[in-house]
This record gives sequence, structure tokens and C-alpha cells, in this order.
Amino acid sequence: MDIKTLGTWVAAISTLSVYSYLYKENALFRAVEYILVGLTTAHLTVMGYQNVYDVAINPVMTGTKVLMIVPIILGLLLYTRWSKHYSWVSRIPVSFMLTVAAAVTITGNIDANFMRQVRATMVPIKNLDTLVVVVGTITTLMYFFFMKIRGGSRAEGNGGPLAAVIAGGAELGRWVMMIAFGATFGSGVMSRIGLFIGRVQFLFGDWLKLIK
Amino acid sequence: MNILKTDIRWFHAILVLVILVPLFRPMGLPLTITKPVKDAYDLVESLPKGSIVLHANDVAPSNEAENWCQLLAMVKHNVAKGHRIILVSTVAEGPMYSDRIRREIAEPAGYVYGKDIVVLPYRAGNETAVTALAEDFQGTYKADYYGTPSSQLPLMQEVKSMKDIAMVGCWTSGDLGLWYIRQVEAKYRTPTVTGIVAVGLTLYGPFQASGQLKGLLLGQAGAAEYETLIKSPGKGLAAMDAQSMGHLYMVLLIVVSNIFYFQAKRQSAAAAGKGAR
Repeated sequence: MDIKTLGTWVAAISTLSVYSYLYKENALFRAVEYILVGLTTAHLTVMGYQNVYDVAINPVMTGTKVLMIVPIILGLLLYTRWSKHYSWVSRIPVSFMLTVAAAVTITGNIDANFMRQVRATMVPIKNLDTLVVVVGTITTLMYFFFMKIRGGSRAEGNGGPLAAVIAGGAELGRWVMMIAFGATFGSGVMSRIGLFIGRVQFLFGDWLKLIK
Repeated sequence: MNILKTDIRWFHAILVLVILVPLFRPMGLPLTITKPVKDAYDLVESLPKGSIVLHANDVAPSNEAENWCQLLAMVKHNVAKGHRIILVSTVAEGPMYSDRIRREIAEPAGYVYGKDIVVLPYRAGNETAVTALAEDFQGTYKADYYGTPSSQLPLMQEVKSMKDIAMVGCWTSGDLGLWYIRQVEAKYRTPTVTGIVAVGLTLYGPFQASGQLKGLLLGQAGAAEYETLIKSPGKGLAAMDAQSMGHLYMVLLIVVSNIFYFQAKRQSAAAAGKGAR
């Protein structure tokens, strides 16, 4: 038995063991679950170490990028959180990471997630699609904003025509969101069925060779 | 029979059957090519021979069923058009799949490693890793997945920045595509397409609608559509009948369960009314 066939058999037995949970929780399922956790941890540890070695340790050792000693020290400082007296030191690299992550994300976010998304909703209404985009965006925003006006109109019953329009728009916005949630649920079902089909294709195709 | 009190394992067993039958006996249900998939196909078609394509391959066992067939379909198209390919990963398992692309698709098609295709190692850091490779590609990858220094790989020498990349493809079940939209498409305007698991539709749909994504492959259906366009049937297309039957079964369950639910609710309301009297 070559290594590929052995791998296929191990994967097939593991898959069946995991699916055995659908019938009943059992020892085989738990064993495979623990093996998966162990393997994943080991694999990530090795890959993580290799990554740190390639990016930081090796350049420092060879003298090509001596400044990489700074992130290495910051990384090591993270482990001070295990000390009662010096755990505060770990806040320095954490705050550094948060700052860098925020800065990196914000620079791209302003254009990608804000400006161009806003621009994409300001479109001439040419067909049903663009109408849905414009009406859906405005009414969904109405649901989250202008709550005071809507609340006033409901509680006092004297909000006037503006409050009535906003309340109606907000109600439509609620429906738009419900439809979006339905689409998310539907695509979630599609995804889960896709995962299952993938395993069935593996079991009956790659393993048993019953389907092409 | 009350469906609400039926053992759930019966429904699991029926789902298995509903999915198995079309896999053994394909029904050839019609498949429509959607615009986001056609756009992705057209983009690849429009790239001249020799263009450098970067595939951000975050395929892992957990998303293999959906993302792997998408990536395979697009790489086959790239190879058919003579594009050169660089594969990067921000998940630890990604390079294993990239290595398979080199061995199973590129090299059998005559691709020379280092000149036409390069497999780069996993880089931790998520969005910051994407920022780093966008700003300093050669500095981020000093060596490839196999340990060969980048200086010895001719293809790597041609990529100074993201401007040298003709197209980016992101294959993910998570936020990878968003990182590339923010750090690569927004800053360098590199045409970007994404292949995502089906559940990511509402997350990525707005970026496709706004034109920030030049194409979008959604789940196995997206892969099946792409396989149809390149006339190379694969696992995506083989799964479509089973997908359709599985969805039909789910819709049926939702409708029937709701009928039983409202019936039970009405009966309990009626019983409560009688009790009050």
C-alpha cells in the first residue's frame, strides 16, 4: 500500500467516524476529534515557527535585517502575561499590534469599505436592480437612524407626516434586512450541503471508486 | 405522524439518499451561467499570454469542497491561456494545495517551475501579511515553499510590486478577499476576483456589485459554472444535481415543518381556549 492509498484510507475512516456522531455520540468520534485537534495544533506550531524563522530569526542570524530583533523581542514580551508581577509588560506588544492592525486596516477601509460602497449606491435608477439597491439602502438606514422621530411618533402619536414616512421606510428596511438574512441562511444551507457533497464525492469517488 | 416529533436521524438518512442518488445517476439539470462568473471568465480571457496572475490560495480541508474546485477551474483556464502563476497563502494548509496545482496541473501542461509557476510559503499576519506582500513582494518572500531563494526564481524577479500582477484571485472561506480588496485592489487597482464558500454571498456580494471585485465564484455552483465555461467538467459540475436535490429537500422540509408548526400552535391555542372555558 503506497502512502497516497494509506492517506485515502485514513481520511475515509476519519470521515466515517466523524459522521457517526449523527447517529450517536461515541468513542470513535471523540478519538478522531482529539486526533484532529492534536494534528492541527502540531501543524500550526511547525508552520508558525517556520514563518517566524524565515521572516525574523534567519535575517537576524545572517545579519541581513538586524532590525528584525525588535519584533522578536516584542513577540517574546507577549509571554510575560504568564508572570503575576510582569504581566503588564505584555500590554506593550499587544498595544503595538492593535495600533498597526488598526492603521493597516483603516487606510484600505476608507476607500474600499466606505467611499466606493457609498458611491455604488448612488446610481441612476435604470432598472429593478438599481431600484432595489437605492430603496434597500435608504430604508435600511432609516431603520437604524431617526429612531427618536420614530419612537416619538409611536409613543406620542403626534409625530406628523415626516415621522410616518420614516416609520414606514424603517418597516420596509426591516423587511429588506429579513430578506437579506434569508439569503444568508439560504447560502449557508448551500454551503453545508456543498461540504457534505464534497465528503460523499471523496468517499464514493476517491476511496471506493464507485463514482467518477 | 407528527414531523415535529420524528427522530432527526431519519432526516439525516433521507438527506444522504437524496444526495447520493444524483451522484450515481446524474440527472443533467440545467445550469445557468451567472454574470459574476462570466465576468471572472472574461477577465481571464482578456489577459495576454504571459501575464502574471497571483492566486491567494487559502484552501484548507474545511473549505476544500467548495474552494478547491473553483481554484482548479481557474488555474486550468490560466494554464490554457499561457498565464504565469504565483501562489501565496495566509493559511498554513494552503501551500499543500498549491503544491498539488504545480504537480497535477501546471507541470503536466509543460510549465517550468520558477519560470512559469512559483509556490510561495505560508505567511502569518492575515491582513498585515497582505499589506506586506503588496508593498514589498520580494522582501516578504525571500524563498519559495521548497526553500529555493527567490533570487534564483526568474518569475519572482519580475514582480517588484502589485503593479506587475495582472490579476489577483482569492480563494477563501473567510475574509481573505476583503483584505485583498482593501490592501491591493483599493491601493493598486489590480483586478481582483474571488472564489468563496456559498455562505459568503452577502459578505462579498456588495463588492461585486460595486465593481471592486471583477468576478465572483460562489460555492460549488460557481465552480460548476466556470467548469462549463472552460469546457472542463470537474467536481463542481458533478456536484450540481446533488446540490439541487439537496436544496429541494431542504425547501420541502422548511415548508412541511412550518405547516406542522402552525397546526400544532393552533391546536394548543384551541386547547387553551377550551381549558379557560
